[in-house]
Formats: sequence, structure tokens, C-alpha cells
Amino acid sequence: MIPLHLVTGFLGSGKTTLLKRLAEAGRERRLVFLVNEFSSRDVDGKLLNGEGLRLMSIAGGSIFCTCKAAEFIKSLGDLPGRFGTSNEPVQGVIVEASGMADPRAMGKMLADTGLDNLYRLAGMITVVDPKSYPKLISTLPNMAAQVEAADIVVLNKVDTAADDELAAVEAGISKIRPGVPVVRTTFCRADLDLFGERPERDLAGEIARCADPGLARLRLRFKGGGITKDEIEAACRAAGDALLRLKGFAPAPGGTIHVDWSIAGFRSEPAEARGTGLECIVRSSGLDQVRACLEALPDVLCLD
Amino acid sequence: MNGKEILLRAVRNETTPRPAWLPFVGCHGAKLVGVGAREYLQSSELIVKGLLKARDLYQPDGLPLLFDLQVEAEILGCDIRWSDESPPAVVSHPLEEVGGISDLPVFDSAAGRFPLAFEALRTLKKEMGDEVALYGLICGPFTLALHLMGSNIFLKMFDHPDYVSALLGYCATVGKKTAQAYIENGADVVAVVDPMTSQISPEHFDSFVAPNLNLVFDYIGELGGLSSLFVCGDATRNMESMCRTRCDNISIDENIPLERLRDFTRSGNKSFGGNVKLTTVLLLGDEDDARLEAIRCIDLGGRCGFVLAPGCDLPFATPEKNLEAVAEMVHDEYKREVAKRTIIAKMAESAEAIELPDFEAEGTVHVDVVTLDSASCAPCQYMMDAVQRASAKIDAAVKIAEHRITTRRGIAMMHRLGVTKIPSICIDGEVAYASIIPDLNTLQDAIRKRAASKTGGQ
Repeated sequence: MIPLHLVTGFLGSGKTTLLKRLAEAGRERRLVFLVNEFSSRDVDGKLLNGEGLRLMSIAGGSIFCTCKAAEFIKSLGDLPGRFGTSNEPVQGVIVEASGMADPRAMGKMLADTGLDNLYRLAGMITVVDPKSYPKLISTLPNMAAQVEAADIVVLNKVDTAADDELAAVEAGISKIRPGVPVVRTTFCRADLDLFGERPERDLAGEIARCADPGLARLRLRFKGGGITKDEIEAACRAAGDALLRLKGFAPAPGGTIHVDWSIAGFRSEPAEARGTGLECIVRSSGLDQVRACLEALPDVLCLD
Repeated sequence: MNGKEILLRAVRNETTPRPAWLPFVGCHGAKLVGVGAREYLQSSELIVKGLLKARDLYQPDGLPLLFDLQVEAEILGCDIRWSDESPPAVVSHPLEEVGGISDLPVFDSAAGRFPLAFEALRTLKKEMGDEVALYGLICGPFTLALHLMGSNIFLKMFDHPDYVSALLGYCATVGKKTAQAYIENGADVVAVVDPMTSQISPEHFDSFVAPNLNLVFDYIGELGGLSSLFVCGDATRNMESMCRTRCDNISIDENIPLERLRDFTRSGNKSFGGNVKLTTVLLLGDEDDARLEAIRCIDLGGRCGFVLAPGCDLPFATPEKNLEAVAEMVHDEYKREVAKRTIIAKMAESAEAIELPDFEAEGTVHVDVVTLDSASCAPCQYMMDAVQRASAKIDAAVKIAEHRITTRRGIAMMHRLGVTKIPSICIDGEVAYASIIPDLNTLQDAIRKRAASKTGGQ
């Protein structure tokens, strides 16, 4: 299965810059970029072509629009043969979605067309410009959909906005998608490792049920309260590489907190959740080790 | 009653003896005559040839002249880029950074590619105008404004709403001129195609778009024409607002459940159309997929005020045989009945090829829900909700799958699982609840019991 990542963001937010950064970071991999921008003169395609990348371009509409779907589906179908061989297969596809796209349509499109036999949705980055975000969230409903579906939000161009503006944008993002990592950048300079192993996910933001025999799922329930975020973070770190993702709600001394551990790091914040519990995606080979680390937490019940 | 009369009755929200059929042959017409979209959309002769061929193959009741929303934009200074298998794309926006409406070239419906469209219309009117209703398609005000301003319009709607309103008002005057020209040249129905309205909220639709759509619809009515509003994309949130506009008909794509549009338009005394799946069925499927999909739409649409149509411009490469299969379903009720039985029988045969999981060996409990479609069928939705809520509270691995019998795969799965009533819940391959939505505790107990009985279960 070829991992497929989505990069979305409104025109001018810095998407193309981010794609170039991802290309640099993934230089050792056989990556293909599928770009589609409802913008002038296919500028993204031209810029990226200058980098000597493997590139396919669909211009003039949202790739998730039914009318454009034929071209997009054909491109995805042709892509492995065009850019890879049996000895050197394509190792990842990065799709630049239009700033107007609703990314939730992507999973359905892959499933409806059978392309989910070739690709797995591996992650999504949404790039946000702090100046335009407050306006777009009011005029473009899909802006919220893009944040809601994001694994990581890159808050770019932070040098153009005041601290209180940035804080307001972050608060707005957190309201739509509690716990999503928000990385502040200028020129999209951020250490984002898209190409490490990640669990399969759906775009509604929930952890997908594990279909891969190499992955396993663990659920944690809390029998009591009073667990701190530091204790959870320490357990995640102790679990090491075998723990790919942990997220959910925990009963901290000051109230419920939302925690999220992934390749991007550990995050926690106060949350208003009625129930608590954590879900984890784990490499099957390291399941026992992860279970031991997590069961060492106080008052935790580990369920397969 | 011939096809044209059937279609016009349907658009006027009247009863018809059979479904009206409107295949959106746009750039697909180029394929029918063996040329690329670029050549086709710039030649009245080729358009005429393509649509005559479409008439012979697909037995339509209506056909659109030109499915190309870039003609007005091109006249107003947008650059376009041509493709061989799709309509051209707008690649520059004259009002993107600077400039105002007064800086745009004067709009003239006799400019650009309109003369060739009208020439084709006049020729086709003579060739088939008595039997087939001809549609003139115009670019809707919001989509045209987006062409002119680019996606910056979403920022301008916030910063300068008055300017955006003025621009949309201007776009409505362009729409009126184009609609008038189409009607004067013989169009029976003018469709205002405004797909980008699926991108905005109902409040913005009501304040920016609806008043300008109404200017165009009212004008079409004054000229004696019929009007239709075409949208594509998930415009569900705007459906109520769309139904309040003063068009005669609304047409949608597969992103909106047809029955939902049906209910909205009926309460607003409008006709409706749609929504044969473009890509997964017409482009990528086979004749049986097309037949099944046509039957689904025809059954939902009924006989009053319904126009069967694909959701949008037919993809260039759509196999002709799939559209011929749809036409067959439209014109022959007996064949529809036969198709229903034979396709389902075929699916039942192919069901044996479906490999079910080894339920005993797996640690996961599989809960399969066979539905009509939980997005549109209320009992199916409640059943899916019940399964999801019950599974969320169970401390065991549960895998939920919905199998919609509106698809061939869903029908095959229904037979493979031995389901005879819809909706039904199967737990690890066994029918547990048929047409009965269990209460939460009962369902949880059943899943828990199954989980506990499994090898390695907890």
C-alpha cells in the first residue's frame, strides 16, 4: 500500500513552500507529488518542476469535485506504473489539495473507486495563514473541514501577525480539533517527518481500526483519577518506537485533559470531555513492551 | 407525448408517463465524434455532429448545447487553458489583485465562443428541436465572480462585502444577457450552473447569491423560458436556500441524496433532477451498474417533476454502452423490471466469491449492517447509529461495516450474509436483527457475548 498524504491550505498560505520542504526532507524516497491548485497559471507545478520532482498536475478545480474526479482517479491509477517499477516502487504520494477542498471526500473517493487497494491515507497537513484564517473560517466552510481533518496544522507566516492574533487562531483551531499539534513557522520551516511509519487513519479525525496485521490496537481505561500529563508522556517515551499513536482523554488532578502522542511529539491540554480513555496504535512486534509501559501507569486498565 | 414534451412537463413540475432523461453531453460529445474537447468546444459543426450522435445513441428528451462555464469568463478577460478530455480551465483572474468592474471588457453575448454555440443551437433546433428540448447553460453569478476574482473572493467577502455584492450583481447582468441570447436562438430551458455555491454557507448564499440568481430566473421567466439551477458538490447545507430561489427546477449531483432534494423541492413546488453517479458508475462501472443506478434514481424520483440526469458534465471517456443502458431503463418499464431481477440474481451468484473473515479465529467481532443507505434511509440511519453507539462502549475490538444494497457490492454482500430483510445487523456473519433496531443494552450484550466466546476473547 502506498501511503498518501494530503497537504491543504488556502492560496498564499505557503503550501508550495511546504511541499518543497517535504521534498527536501524526503529526498531519499521515491515520492510523487500530485498538485492541483485553483490558482493562476499552475504556478505550483512550475515551481516544483524546477526542483526536479516527480510531479503530476491537475489544474482548474478541486480534485475532490465529482467533475474533476475522473482525471484525479486516472492520475492516481497511472501513478505507480509511471513513476515506479517493481524493484523501485513509489514510496509515497503527496497530494496538494485545493484550498477550497473538503478533505473528507478523499477517503470516500478512494473506497468508491477501489483505489484503497493501492493507497492508504497516511496523514494530512493543513497550512494556515494567521491573517487570512479568521476571515476564511467565516466565509469558507471547508476551512473548518480542513482543520478538523488535520494531523498537523502548520501555522505559517507567524512573523506577520501579533502574538494575540496567533493565540486567537490557535484557540480557534483547538476548538475545531482539540489536541491537534499546531506548529508555528515562517517559510514553513518545520521538522515534519511525514515519512515515518504512521497508523492508517480516516479523515474524520478518529483512529482507524487496524487492518494491517503489522499493527495492533490497545485501549486504556482509567479506574481512578489523578494521572498527570507528565506521567503519560513519560510512559509514551518509555514505550519507544513501537507506540505509533496514543490519543484520548485522561483524568488529570485538575480535570480532564486531552492528550495526543504521535511522531510529531506529545501534546496535552485541558478538555471538556464526559468520559476518559485512551486509544493506541502499536506495532504488533512491540505490543508487549508498550502494554507493559502503559500498564505501569497508575489505575490504568489495558484492553486489547 | 414525445420526449421534449415529457421533459418540459417534468421541468414544469407536472406528471409524466415515464421519467424525463437529460444526459449532460458536454465534452463527451467530442469523444462521440472522435476529436478532443479543445477542437469540439470551438466548432459549431462538431457540436452539432456530437449532439446528433448523442441523440441517436442515448434517446434523450433534452440535451445541453455547450457544457462549458468558461465562455463568459473568457470574454471578460480570463485566460483559459485547454485540455483534450475536459472543458477548459480558467487560469487567470482579472480582478484578483487590483481593478474593478469598470475595468473589465464590455460583455457582449455575441462575443467569444457564443456565436458558434448559437449557430449550433439554431441548426439543432431544425434537426431535433421538435423532439428534444435544448438547454442553454450559463455560468452562475458566484462561479463567474470566482472566475473573475479568483479564490480571493473568500477574503473579499469578509473585508469588502459591498464590493462582492456589486460584482455578483454585475455577474447577474451578464447571466441575463446570455440567457436572453440563448432563448432568442431557440433554447427551451436555461440552466444557471453555479457549482461554486456549494463552497459557501447558507447565510452567504442568501445574502450574496440568491438575490442575483433570482434576477436571472425572473428574467428567464419574463422571456417565456424555463429555468433550472445546477449545482454540484456537497451543497446540502444550502439546499433549503436554493429551493427558495425562483427557478423552475434544481439539479444536483451524487453528493446530495436525491430523496432529500425531492422532499425539499416538492414542498417548494419545484421540479428536480439528478443524480446518476458520474464517476463510479457511468465512467468506471459497466452496464449493470448503470442500469441499477438508473433504477435507483427513477424509483426515488417518481413520475412528477423529475428529470433523470447525471450529476454534472459527463466525463469525456464515459463508455457509450453505460449511457445506452440508462436510456434503456428510461424508455422501457418492462426492461427495468427484468433488470432488477436479473442483476440481483447475478449478484447473488457472485456472492459466493466473497471471502468472509474467519470469524472464529479472529479476535475482532465483525458487525455488518446491510442497509438501503444510512445517509438517506431513516431506519438504516438509526440502525447504524445504534451499532456505532453500542460498539463504542464495548471493551473489545469491534469492526463495523455498512453494506448498501444500492451498489452491486452491497447486494452481493447481502446474499453472502444471508440477509433477506433491510436493514439487518449481522454479528460475526450471523443475522442477529432483521428489520428490528435493538435497544442499546440488548445490542451491547449480544456483541459482548460474542466477543467473550471467541478464542482469545476477553
